Amino acid sequence: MGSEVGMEELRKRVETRREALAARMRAALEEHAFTNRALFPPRQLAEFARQEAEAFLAFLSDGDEGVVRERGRALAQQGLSHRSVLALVQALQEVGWESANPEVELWPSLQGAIGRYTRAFLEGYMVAREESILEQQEKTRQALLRALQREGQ
Amino acid sequence: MSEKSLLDTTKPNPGRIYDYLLGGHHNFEVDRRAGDFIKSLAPFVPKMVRLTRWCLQDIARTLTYERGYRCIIDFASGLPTMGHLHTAVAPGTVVIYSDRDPICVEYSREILGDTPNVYYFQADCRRPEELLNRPEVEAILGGNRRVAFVYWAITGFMTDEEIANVARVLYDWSDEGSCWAVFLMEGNPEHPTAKRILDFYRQIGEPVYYRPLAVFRELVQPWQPDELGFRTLEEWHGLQDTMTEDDKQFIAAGGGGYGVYLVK
Ligand SMILES: C[S@@+](CC[C@H](N)C(=O)[O-])C[C@H]1O[C@@H](n2cnc3c(N)ncnc32)[C@H](O)[C@@H]1O
Repeated sequence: MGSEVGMEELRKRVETRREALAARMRAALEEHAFTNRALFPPRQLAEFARQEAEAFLAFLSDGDEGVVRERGRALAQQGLSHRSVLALVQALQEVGWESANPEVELWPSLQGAIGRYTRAFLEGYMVAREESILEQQEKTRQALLRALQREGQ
Repeated sequence: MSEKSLLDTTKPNPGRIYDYLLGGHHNFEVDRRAGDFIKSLAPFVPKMVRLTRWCLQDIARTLTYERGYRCIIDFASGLPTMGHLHTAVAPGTVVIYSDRDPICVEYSREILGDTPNVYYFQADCRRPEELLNRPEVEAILGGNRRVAFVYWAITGFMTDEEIANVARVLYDWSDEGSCWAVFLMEGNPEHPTAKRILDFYRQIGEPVYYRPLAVFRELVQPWQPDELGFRTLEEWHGLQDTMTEDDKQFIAAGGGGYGVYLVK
């Protein structure tokens, strides 16, 4: 096995495929546009895909998993569907593989970085999603109670 | 539907069915079952509700940033969750939401908390004068009657007479230069799928009406469409081919309806 390739090297490599990454992510988002909730109107998907590609490049620069977790969290709260999330992950893996080619020795390190990014993102996303479902259920229950109490007054 | 039956959570509630179809969790099992039934009849419906709901952010931006309205009065608002009007308006805009459903009103007040310039009242959209003449609303408006009204995803629950009456009340109440953003659902009520959907809503006490664009244009007189005119949902979002041939048999091509900015 060759030695680990540095993150900076990986970032430079993926940066050459920046446009392709944004385009692939956009296609992934468009395919699942009708599974998202209100905050992702079709006209905004291109911009959103670009931000998503930049977020991954930023991670390759700073390796900050906390920021990625927060991003996953925020997107869950905004109603990005799990189908869109999975399609984004797949787009990332595909473009990652293409960026490593033909120097396949880059791939294990890049795969490792994509894995860390994806894990942090999914963790933030899943925790926030569960929290938000529970919170919505509780708030609905309280609202019902208050409405019933007011009616009884 | 009476206020009492709106509080009966053993019966499906159209607002919560809509929320379920949008992918929300502000709903109960009975609403989800109703939503699944509608989806089984018309698989396009979840797409249509998204196409409809996505317009709200666009409306908020257009009305405030582009057209300079300082106040939006929204009827039959549903829940002001992310993506609703107040999250996309220009800073300082007053947004007055309203809904008839008491649970929705309670919940909405909780969501909004102390959000500045955003208010939520219980009101029936078929009688807009009741909201407009409330002393609290008059105080908020401070005499401003050049406003933007919104009736989104609701005219399908109103009779022709109710729409015509609302058009007249809003027109008479507001100042020159006011605007009314409104959505019309168009479909063929004679189609078997449409009939089953309409039957379902009638059974739960919330009749739905499909009406042709030509009829709607008449009902909203004397309001006039702006230069964008009546746009299908697909036109609105710059999309094409969201529907199958089957979908188009019972609901209008282009996404199931039209959105428009009417002006005085
Ligand atoms: C389909 S949702 C539309 C919500 C929102 N306008 C939107 O576009 O997302 C319909 C909402 O209208 C409310 N509603 C139904 N009939 C009403 C009436 N007569 N007056 C006021 N609200 C009504 C329901 O409670 C529900 O919240």
